[in-house]
Amino acid sequence: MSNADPVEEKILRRIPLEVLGLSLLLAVTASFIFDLLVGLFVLAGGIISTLNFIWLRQALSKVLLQGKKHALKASALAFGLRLMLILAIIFIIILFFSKKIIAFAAGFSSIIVVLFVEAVAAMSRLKTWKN
Amino acid sequence: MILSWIRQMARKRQRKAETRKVMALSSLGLMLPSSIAVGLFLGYLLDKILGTRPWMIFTFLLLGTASGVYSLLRGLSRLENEKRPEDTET
Repeated sequence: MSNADPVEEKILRRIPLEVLGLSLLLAVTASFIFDLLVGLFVLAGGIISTLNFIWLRQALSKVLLQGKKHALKASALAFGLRLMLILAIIFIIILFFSKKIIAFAAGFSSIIVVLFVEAVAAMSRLKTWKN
Repeated sequence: MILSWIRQMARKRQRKAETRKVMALSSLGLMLPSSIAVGLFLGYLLDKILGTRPWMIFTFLLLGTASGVYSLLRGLSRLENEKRPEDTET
């Protein structure tokens, strides 16, 4: 998002790093509690959810900033193909390691925690400005 | 003094708008992974209860992805609708 505001840009750039950090922390904890493979799946989930966020951000920035029909089609197609890739990875994990899918889902959900924390921080900032 | 107060208020309003925009974009980013994760968890649970591994997890993963894409598109169109009046004002 090249035309984005500095605050917005900073937060949107920070989110993928925070997701990676959290999933790494979860992976290390899981590999100590369970086994190394579980930790690797948690980390894989975190990396894929980070990639998903970056790709979605790219697609949305093209659509929202350019707003043209061909940009919408191209970015929707690119994002759709990337989503198919993510689904293919999940399908492979289900087929070969179906018992470890929860570990992958836990890593994949780390973005939910990060976005929730960022939303709470943004809301608290809003309240401070209101006062 | 009044001028500085007006400037301060304008700055506050701009920051509020920026924060709202970030929150809207974050919620768009949340829709897809949360739907996929919910589909995965539900499918895993149903597979465990019904003993149908891996069919329920496949079905619910696809359902979760479809619902995530649908809500993402709805959110995007809402964002576009909110953007349009601003564009016409400027």
